[in-house]
Amino acid sequence: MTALRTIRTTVNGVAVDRRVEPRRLLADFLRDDLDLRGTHLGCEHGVCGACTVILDGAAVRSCLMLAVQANGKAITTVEGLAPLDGELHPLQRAFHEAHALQCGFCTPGFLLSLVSRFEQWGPPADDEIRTVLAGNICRCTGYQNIEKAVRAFRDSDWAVS
Amino acid sequence: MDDGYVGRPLPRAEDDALLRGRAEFVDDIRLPDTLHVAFHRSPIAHAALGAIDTKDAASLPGVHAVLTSEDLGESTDLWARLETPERVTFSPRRPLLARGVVRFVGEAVVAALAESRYVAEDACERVLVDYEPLPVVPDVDAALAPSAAVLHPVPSNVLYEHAHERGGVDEALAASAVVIERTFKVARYAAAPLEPRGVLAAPTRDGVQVWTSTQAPHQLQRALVPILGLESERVRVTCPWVGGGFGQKAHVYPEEILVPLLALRYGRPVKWTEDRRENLIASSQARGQVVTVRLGATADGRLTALDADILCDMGAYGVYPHGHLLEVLGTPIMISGPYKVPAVRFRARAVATNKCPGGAFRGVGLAVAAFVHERAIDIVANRLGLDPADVRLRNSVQPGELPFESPTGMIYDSGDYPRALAEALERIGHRDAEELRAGAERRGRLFGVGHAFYVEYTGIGSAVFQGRGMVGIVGFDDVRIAVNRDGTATVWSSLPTAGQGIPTTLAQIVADELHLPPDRVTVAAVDTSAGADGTGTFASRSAIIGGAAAMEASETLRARLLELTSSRLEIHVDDLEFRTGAVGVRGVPATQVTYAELAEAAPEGYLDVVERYDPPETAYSYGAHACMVEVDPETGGVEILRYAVVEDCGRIINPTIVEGQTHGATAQGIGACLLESVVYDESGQPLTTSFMDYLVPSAHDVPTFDIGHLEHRPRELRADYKGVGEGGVIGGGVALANALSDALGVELNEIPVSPETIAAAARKGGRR
Repeated sequence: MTALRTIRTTVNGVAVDRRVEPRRLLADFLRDDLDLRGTHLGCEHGVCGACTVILDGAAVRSCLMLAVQANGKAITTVEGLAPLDGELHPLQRAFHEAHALQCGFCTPGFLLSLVSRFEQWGPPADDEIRTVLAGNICRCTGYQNIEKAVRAFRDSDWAVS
Repeated sequence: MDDGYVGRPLPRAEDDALLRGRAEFVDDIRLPDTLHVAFHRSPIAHAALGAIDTKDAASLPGVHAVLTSEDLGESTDLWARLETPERVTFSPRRPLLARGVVRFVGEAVVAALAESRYVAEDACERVLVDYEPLPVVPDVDAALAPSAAVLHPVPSNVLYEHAHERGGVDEALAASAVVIERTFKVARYAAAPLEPRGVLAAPTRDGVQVWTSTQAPHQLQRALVPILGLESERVRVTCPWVGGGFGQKAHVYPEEILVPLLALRYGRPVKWTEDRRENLIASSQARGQVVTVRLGATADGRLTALDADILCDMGAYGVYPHGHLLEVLGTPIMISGPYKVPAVRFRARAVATNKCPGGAFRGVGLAVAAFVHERAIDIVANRLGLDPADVRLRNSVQPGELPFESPTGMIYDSGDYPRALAEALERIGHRDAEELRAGAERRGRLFGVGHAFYVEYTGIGSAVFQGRGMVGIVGFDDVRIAVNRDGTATVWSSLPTAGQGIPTTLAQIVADELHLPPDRVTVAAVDTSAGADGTGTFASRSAIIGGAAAMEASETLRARLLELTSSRLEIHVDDLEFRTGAVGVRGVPATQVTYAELAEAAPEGYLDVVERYDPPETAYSYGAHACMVEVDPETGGVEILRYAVVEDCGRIINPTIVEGQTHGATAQGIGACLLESVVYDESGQPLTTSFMDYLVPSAHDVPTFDIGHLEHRPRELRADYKGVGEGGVIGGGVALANALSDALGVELNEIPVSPETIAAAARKGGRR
């Protein structure tokens, strides 16, 4: 085991100060050290997108980053989208209403990819939605209802955060 | 009860926790003092095991134990008992850790137990194993060669063989106007649920509790009891949230035995979480068949005879408790699909190779059967210059002929097959085809139309499993329902959800049956200690069997509620009626007793019943797929322009969920046709060990589906439902293969087809 490093991040708006092994994955740091287990690991090689979190505004794969790389940065995980037991985020509600999730394992990654996209580049046009979704894998839904949810969210009176 | 909750597109009750990221999948469960397991897995497809040196690994700080097969003994082996003595030559034993020999890349050889997964993996890297390579059997051709190495202690690699003939096939073929002979190949696939498998076990006061990502927790519990040597009550298996299964999680795996064993041995919780590489090389794979067919027809397109030789690559071992009988039984018995073929013969063999064990994946056996009969129909139609749709309609079973005994002895119960195809064609606007073809050609692209029927057995019960020799599968399922003192109902079953919406659909059924709003019905997580025994969620059985058991349990509960109210009010039951959450007196709106009051008065503080259902016959779902494609002849790229599915799953419980199942399954069929394939090289090395190599469809690869429904109810079942989880994958791959063959003017008889294959076919095809 190598010497621990101290990292300071803001996670879902809360300042976090932790000592971690340099080799510790950001995903493991979030899941095991911070108990934010909504970040899921589907492939651990950056393809499936289930582990997507938002790091300083950008969607990133937390399985391809080390926790130490998050030092000084702000992270949003799925737990940060809606207050505990409070109302769902409108995008989460759109997923619910459109049956855009089945097993739900990939869902947090889709939500964060989409929130980041809407925040950074605004709403996608109809023919852009599938491209926006193509960075995440869902094995259950065939994507049709995810597209439907994104469309409904976009066409609603949305605000991402 | 047409004004009830069954039939309504209710949003799912289970979504909230999933959307918030607060649903606990097995790897999310945290227990103090947990030890973590990692495996050293064989890098070689076939080898004798020499010395295994674990000293260096064991000396690493944080490592608790490093184990080999010597630490386990033969009593822990998984062995599927199969009782078809005239057909099964051998059911291989599967040691939890390889003993003496490894038979596929990925087979676990050494387990390291450590304070963290990181350290457990470090330990595995320090394990030294002497592998003495043995001749590799990479595929079925090699396995059948006279000089082939034989994997198990039996005379050959053929571990199952079954033959059948009805009608005189040779005579009928000789008398046919045309006979086509083709070999069809369907790749090996990985179910690839987004959540890999995982197991957590913890010692309890007098036994063990196990949490595992499975479709069949009761099956695991039954396997664990004799191996652990504990009484049944002391082994509890709990099913947390499951991130997809698609058949892969319908089996009991070595890790699911080993982890509880280690938890008991070391007196601490033990966890193993599969990584994606392990999932792609060592969790069961599926299909992998070579089928050679002769199909005869009259000049006007009436099918005369079908002769099929079916070879299934079962890999190195069977799966538990299904053995190696999944594809090799499913494909031949459905090889004639919905068609009235007077003479059918098949020979089906399951062959051992040095690959990952073959198991279940959505549409077991059926997807290959449909690929074969639907490609063959198109080929016959082309040969005769007939419209393939006409040939399908001419030969398929007609509504008035149901129930219909198929040439392989299956009893198709209900439906209107021709209407399904006619509607699917309408939905894609098939009359536009020539116009679209001309338009595509003007742009230098190729246009094709394809369609396909599928028919599938769903909701099979104990008699079918016994008949197939799978004696380790009970085939029934229980539903237990309690009415609680707050007037709500809780439902337990043996049928976990892995995304199918069971907590919602089961609640809809119980809500109607018990006169409660669905938000007052909670479907609990599946737990073997909850008093509902059974089989599990696979082979499209949960709605049929769980739905029927829920109806039976509700009926018993209703009788109890009436009796209790009757004695409480001293009014005859005939004068009572059900109201929402209450039993009232007919004609006296003010007089009623609520469920809450009745539960409160019960000695336990609740009222509960459990009922079992074992379906007396199989329900056959069916449907038709139709699609239109455009192909770029330069790149081999495929664009799916229109895609329609018309399916019949009997009475629909929740149309939104039925359509979601159809979308998702059809996407997997499209993946099977265009993208997915588990590839091994000649030395038995798997080459598709990540999602960069094993290509699961993305949002770009899947079109928007137009779904239609027919609702013909099954014949003899308690509930009006037929299964719906699998039809999409069964009809999907071949409808697309037919469309591509049409576009290219070249037969595509092997899937998946790569862009290179398509571009090469376009160069030599008849269409350009």
